[in-house]
Amino acid sequence: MNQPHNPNEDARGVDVGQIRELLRMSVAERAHEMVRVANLMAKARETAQLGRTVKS
Amino acid sequence: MTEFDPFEMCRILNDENVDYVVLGGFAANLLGSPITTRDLDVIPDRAEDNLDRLGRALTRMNAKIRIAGEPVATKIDGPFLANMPNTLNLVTDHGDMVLVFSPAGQLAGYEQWNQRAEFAELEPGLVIAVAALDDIIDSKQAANRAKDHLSLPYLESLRDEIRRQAGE
Repeated sequence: MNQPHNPNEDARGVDVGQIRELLRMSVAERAHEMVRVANLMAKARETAQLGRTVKS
Repeated sequence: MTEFDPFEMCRILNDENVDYVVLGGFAANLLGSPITTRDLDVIPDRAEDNLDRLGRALTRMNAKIRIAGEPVATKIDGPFLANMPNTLNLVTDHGDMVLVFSPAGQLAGYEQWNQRAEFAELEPGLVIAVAALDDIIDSKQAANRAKDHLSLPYLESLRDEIRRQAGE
């Protein structure tokens, strides 16, 4: 079955919209945004892991 | 969990007058890559006095050697760093850091990476040297690790987009 095509996706399957959004920011804004997201994702992973540990 | 704070790591490196270039995932983020990272990759100048300054900076960060299991606390000073052949994975109070002494790819060491690096201001007064995107891509292609295969399409698309926006 064909997957729905994302109009922002290029030939490599990369969402170029995300890249364009980052390029619109200043370097400092990009730096802070990417660090914020990285820490948020790590926190979410840690919480999920804790949840699994408590259940088992 | 330690917060990843590359700003504080760079602040301490600058404060101790360490000559270094940021490369890897965080450098790519500064250039526009959407792939997140939780370590700061740094190529330091291997000059003896610079490694002494780097040792002081790492001591201030409470750097320990990152291995599987508990990090190992040891004295990380200039002579110790001078004996590192390739990479040194560290845990610090401000997140993980990787010292890359001999990055994969065409560029031999700090001098060449630094020559092609651009300066970026992360915060007012916090200026760092950031590796060129072409050099990051070349290094990741040469390293050829699984995680590099995942990030390379994003970096190549970023390069295409930067060129497109520049009208090249």
